[in-house]
Amino acid sequence: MCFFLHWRVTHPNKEAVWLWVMSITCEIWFGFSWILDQIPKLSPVNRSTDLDVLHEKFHIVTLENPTGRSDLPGCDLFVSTADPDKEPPLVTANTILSILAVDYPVEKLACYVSDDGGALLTFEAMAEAASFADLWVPFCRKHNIEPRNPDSYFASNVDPTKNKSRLDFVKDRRRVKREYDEFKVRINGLPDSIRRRSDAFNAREEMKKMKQFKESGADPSKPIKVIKATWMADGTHWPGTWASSSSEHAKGDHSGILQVFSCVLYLRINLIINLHLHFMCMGVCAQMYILYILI
Amino acid sequence: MLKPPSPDPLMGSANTNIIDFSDVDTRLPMLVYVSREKRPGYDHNKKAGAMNALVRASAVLSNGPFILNLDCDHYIYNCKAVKEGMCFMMDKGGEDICYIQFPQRFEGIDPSDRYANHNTVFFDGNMRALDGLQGPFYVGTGCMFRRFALYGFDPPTGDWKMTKAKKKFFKKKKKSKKRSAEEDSETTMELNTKRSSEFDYYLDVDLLPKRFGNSVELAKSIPVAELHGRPLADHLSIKYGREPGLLTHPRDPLEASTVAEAVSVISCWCVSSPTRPRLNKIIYIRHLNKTI
Repeated sequence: MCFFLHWRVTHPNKEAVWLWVMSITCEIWFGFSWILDQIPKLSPVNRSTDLDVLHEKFHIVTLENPTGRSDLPGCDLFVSTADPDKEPPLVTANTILSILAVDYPVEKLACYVSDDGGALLTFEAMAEAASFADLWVPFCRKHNIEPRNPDSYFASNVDPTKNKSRLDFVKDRRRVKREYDEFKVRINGLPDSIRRRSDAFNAREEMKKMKQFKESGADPSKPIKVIKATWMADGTHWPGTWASSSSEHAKGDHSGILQVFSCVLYLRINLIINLHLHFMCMGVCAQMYILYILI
Repeated sequence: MLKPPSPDPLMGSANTNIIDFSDVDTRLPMLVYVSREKRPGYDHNKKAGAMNALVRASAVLSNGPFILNLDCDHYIYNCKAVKEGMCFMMDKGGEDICYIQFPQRFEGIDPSDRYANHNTVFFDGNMRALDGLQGPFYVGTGCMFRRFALYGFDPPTGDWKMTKAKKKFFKKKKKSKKRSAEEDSETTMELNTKRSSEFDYYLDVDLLPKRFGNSVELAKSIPVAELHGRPLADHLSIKYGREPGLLTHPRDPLEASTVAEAVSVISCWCVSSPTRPRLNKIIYIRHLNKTI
């Protein structure tokens, strides 16, 4: 590179000096930055971990801790998804399953799924994944499955019985495979089932309104307006984005939803809290801040 | 009230499931579905905003001192990855590490990798090279953060006045070394643990609401996350450690009020309040995880 640059500098183009100066400057600069880029690559850093030492340090059996409970810090795992159409829920569910099956003290882990689209499809897919995890995660622990993502595990070309010596492995694997296939079919059927359910609930609402309408004795030629809502399985409106967009339920306009799947107790308590109340408080808060600034 | 996973293994029984889990731990970690509030007129900041909401909600719900973020089309290939990350974080000097990044590997690429989708040069060349120069940059996913660092606080090393000037955290990974026998023989160990407000002036509990909004739970969780994220103070040379056995206690059950608090911190109002402070440390970086 030095020889080339030397030759370029010593052989100027007399007819177009400005062009020559520009290209020389660029070449020297790119040469310099190329060197800056290459130098660190000469000695890449290799890290290695010693999991035995970690285990030895953080799982000490003492008098206060006779069962050797883990002293490791907690870890929160975040998964972000935005659009169930572009990012299929099955892929997201697989990610969740691989996270739930991570080899780490269970009570220290928490998995958070952020659904920016606020879609009922993702929500129900997560609920399905949580129930399939009841089977998948202990299966992974029992037979040391790797990778712990069911899709890539069942799709891998490696002999599944490699390094497996437990006699019930083949039977277990066949059952889990079957369950996984059924899980996949359930996930694939979710969009349809949500649509059918919503249609049924909407039709019921329409009937109700019609009845009210007739009883009130209003003009029958007027059309009845029924909002096309998206319904959850328990017969309530989904607080997130609706299939047919309406105010408060459009894309990029919905309230916050937070649901904790309590997998341990096999209880899934709906704790969806609508934020409308919170929003009503907003005016009050704003006034308070203005006062604060004035003082 | 929701009960967190029990601290001791819970063995399955032979009959209840279609598979015999009689000697396997059947507990599952906590799984939370979050969809933050979105309103016209409030900038939702795409993925950074979503991460922000998650950081806030998780601070109230579980407050794990470490955060691993993944995209929905990623998965953990090595089930021991979280433990390996902890090896670095919990090592001597680990309190200075802001984040640990796992390289991305791709599936479904043509065998000859004609379009260089594996990004071998980037992940195995550049990133490992930069590791020696104070650490590589964040590629947007597959990264284990220290929660405390994400809040914008300085690492505990040195005098806080000095570190205040330093605005950036640097990733320093150190190889986990086996403790030598002579270290173990030291029986009289004086635990040199410092309180968090001693090294960072901003960690004063009275000042936290100014930076993090009016959620008391969130402000309270910050020093806790800091303390829990420290390495074990089982040796004299570890200045900023925590006492061993601190985290062996079981987690408190989740109460409905806690969940309500978590919902309120993911609302638009909380995220874009004028007095709300710079929690928005995450900048959205487009990363190359889409394969052709």
